[in-house]
Amino acid sequence: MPSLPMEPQSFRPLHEIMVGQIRSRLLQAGLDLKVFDLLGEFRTAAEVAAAMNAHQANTRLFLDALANLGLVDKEKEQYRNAPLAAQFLSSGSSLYLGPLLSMVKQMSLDTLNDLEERIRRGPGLAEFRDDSDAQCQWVESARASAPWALGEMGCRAARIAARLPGFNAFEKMLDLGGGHGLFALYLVQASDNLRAVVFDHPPVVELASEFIASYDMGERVTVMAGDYVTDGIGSDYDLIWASATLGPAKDHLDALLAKIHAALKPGAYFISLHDGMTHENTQPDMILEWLGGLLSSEKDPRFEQGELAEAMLRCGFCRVRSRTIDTPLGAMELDIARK
Amino acid sequence: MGKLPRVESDFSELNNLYFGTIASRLMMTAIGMKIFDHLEQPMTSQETAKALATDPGNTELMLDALCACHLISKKNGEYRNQQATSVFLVCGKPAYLGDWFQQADEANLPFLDSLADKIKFGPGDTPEDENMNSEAYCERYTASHAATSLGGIAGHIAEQITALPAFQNCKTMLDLGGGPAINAMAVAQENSQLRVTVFDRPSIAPLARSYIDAYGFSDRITAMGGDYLKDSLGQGYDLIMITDTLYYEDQEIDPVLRKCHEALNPGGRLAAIHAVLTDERTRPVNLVLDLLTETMSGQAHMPEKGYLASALDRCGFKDITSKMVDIGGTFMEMNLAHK
Repeated sequence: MPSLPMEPQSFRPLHEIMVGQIRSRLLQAGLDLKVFDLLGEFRTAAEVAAAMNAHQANTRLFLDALANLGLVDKEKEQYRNAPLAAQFLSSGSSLYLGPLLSMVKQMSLDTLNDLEERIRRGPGLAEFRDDSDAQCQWVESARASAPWALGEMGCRAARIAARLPGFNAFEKMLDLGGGHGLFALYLVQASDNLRAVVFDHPPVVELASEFIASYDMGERVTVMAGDYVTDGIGSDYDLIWASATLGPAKDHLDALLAKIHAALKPGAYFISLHDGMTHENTQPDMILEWLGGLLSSEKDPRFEQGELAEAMLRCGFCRVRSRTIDTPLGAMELDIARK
Repeated sequence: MGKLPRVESDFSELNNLYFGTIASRLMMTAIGMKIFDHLEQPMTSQETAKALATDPGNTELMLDALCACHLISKKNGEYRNQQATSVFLVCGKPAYLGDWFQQADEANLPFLDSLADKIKFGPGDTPEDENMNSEAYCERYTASHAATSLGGIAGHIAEQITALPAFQNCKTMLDLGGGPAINAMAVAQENSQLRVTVFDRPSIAPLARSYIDAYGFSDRITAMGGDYLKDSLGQGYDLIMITDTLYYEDQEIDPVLRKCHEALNPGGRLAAIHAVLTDERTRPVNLVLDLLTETMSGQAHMPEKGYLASALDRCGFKDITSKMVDIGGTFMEMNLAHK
């Protein structure tokens, strides 16, 4: 006869995982319904339901659940955005994450819909995507990821660069694969002498030009259009910055790093901010975000921790300092290489 | 000209929230594919792919991702279940939670897919076979939910009940809505003279009997099938235990509690443990989310703290005391009342 199990282990962590999808979908529903746009001030559930033309009782349950997530504050039966939601989830905010999360949904969440099938059958044939589609996607990705730089990371990037010896004397930098170009803007703003070039594909630099113009920095920041794998990237830079861009060019890594090395002045710096897998490719958590895309692809654009630093040394850089930093998107590897 | 924002807070919390879906989908897919059944012993991804007849490359990506979710571990290229996974997610184990999670997932997924519509248009009609109060749903739920009792919840319940003053003097107990009788067995185990009647729906009684027989309590615990809203509960009880079942509107609870009052011996006690909403219905953390599918679909009434004490008072009980107790990491309200 078995005795009643007295299991000391708690199943709470597993239950937390289970509940995770409810949290995620509540946030998505909040964005879809633009409820955070309505909660700049305290409002009752009835008022919110009326403004959304929605069902009153379920709107109250929804708002209670958002309060449960900490996205909304509730006092005396009235609801208002919590600071995090006011800053990042209200569409009027310059830091609005709606487009970024929508892109993430498309790339990381929707791609898991056929997860079991992908595991059973493998990647299959990649969907055909013509060049104009890909270019549109680059522009949308760059636009959607702007809040990443605007929300704290731009300031951090500037602080990182400003600590480099001689930074105040730097005259010219390159933001390689710079997309929106915002990192270049933050770095330039940290110095009186620095000018920057934002390099990316032709339609993407148009977006960078928009941001440059909106912050009135056209005199100090310019754009250069091209493919950095095949085209020239300029020369005589004091600093080259590259963040979250080199993965797709992994097959050409050494040639690209040699090109970067050649484009720098003697003694100048290359700063790379990229993913870096650890623990036998099971960390950081960011690997979960890539999973959907990887299961459908024959190529793996991820880097292991130290892989880029080793390649930099191999390609002529004399010294590389590396450290892991926490970013809003997860832990990333910061490599600072000197020519 | 806009000024580049200087933001000190980051959105990593929102990012983590948003990606909750990925871990949920990974865990549920792994449960569905019985991946954890193969990882009680260390296995490489190649061996696992062979055992599952899956694509080796994508199997490795999946296993790495399950490591990132802390469900399995990886050492020298071999994967193995983490302890909680081994206890709760391997088929055939006494506290296997896979069936419970799968049933919840089946209910949650269509609901979450239509979450914005539920908020806008209300609960709508639920087909009878999908109704969570249907006989078939309850029967399946009780069977799958039994694992949570075996997985530690029964021990926490019993700890509260057996700590009641003079518990050892109790000779007869009714467990109202007692499901698979696991809580009743955990209580009876602590008092060798206690005889227990477990009352639940007729379709649940056979399940209760199977557990009672399996764990050797058939000489002291009997299962009675009936509808406690309509049928007699028996009489002559020193103690009535009611856990996690009386989630009804006042007009339905009162007749049940009056029947309980009649069924108790003079001086007998009723001890009830229920999940209740607090903090303006925005807490406890997971309860609000767990019940969202049911509440927004109009299939559950979730009471607030204090609801049962008021009902006990209305129904003639005296010396009513209430406190919040920790049942496996979730705070529930425990009410104690005397006849």
